[in-house]
Amino acid sequence: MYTHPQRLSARLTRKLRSQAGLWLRELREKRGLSQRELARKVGAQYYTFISQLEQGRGRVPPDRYLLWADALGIAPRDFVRELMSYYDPVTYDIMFGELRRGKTPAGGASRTPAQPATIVKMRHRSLPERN
Amino acid sequence: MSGSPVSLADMRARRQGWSAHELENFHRVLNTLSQAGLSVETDSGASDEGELWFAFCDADAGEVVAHFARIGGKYVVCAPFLNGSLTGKVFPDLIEHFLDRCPGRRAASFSSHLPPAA
Repeated sequence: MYTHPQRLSARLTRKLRSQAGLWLRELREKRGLSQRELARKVGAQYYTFISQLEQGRGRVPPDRYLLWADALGIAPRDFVRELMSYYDPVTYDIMFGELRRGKTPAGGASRTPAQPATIVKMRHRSLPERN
Repeated sequence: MSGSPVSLADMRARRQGWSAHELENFHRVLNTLSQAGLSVETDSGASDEGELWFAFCDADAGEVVAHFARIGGKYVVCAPFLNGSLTGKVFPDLIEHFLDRCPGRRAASFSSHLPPAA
């Protein structure tokens, strides 16, 4: 069982994990998999872990990211980036905040007014499609 | 960190599907984990096949400390400090084996064997 302590407030962590769970569930259902089938594909010891994750408790172990992405039919990079926004929003905001706010990585011309930081803005995003 | 008291009545009110006897055993786990200095909260749910799980979480870190489930008529528990999992058909026995390996109980047991201070 993987653990990775966060330094966010417990309330915020809980909220983000719940969002991650909903996202994972949406992906699984879109793929037409049962929790037991997904557990088998990702090597989860007990399929009830899937239910626990979808309810917003715990996190996908990093050493299983590729298995999860493959099972859910999503590009690994998209999968990990989305998970990072829930599990490690501070890092996510540093890595991708500029892009999300409409700037180009090289500081190009598409600048838009800055948005609140990811960690305080709970948002809904559409599911990334597999390439 | 300090233990976060969760009353047995609260657990009963929220944990549909688990029997009173099972919840009493979960309360023993809660007390032991709290003694280990964890601020523990609990959560539970059911799989898409209707099988129950019950999780103990570190409220500060948001991580799962122990995952119990009733799968196919057997009880299972998985926790980082177990280096694997425990399974059994008799719930109190499984709980006892789990508690024997709990950091909280090990610490209490260790301290009880310390010689008295001079």
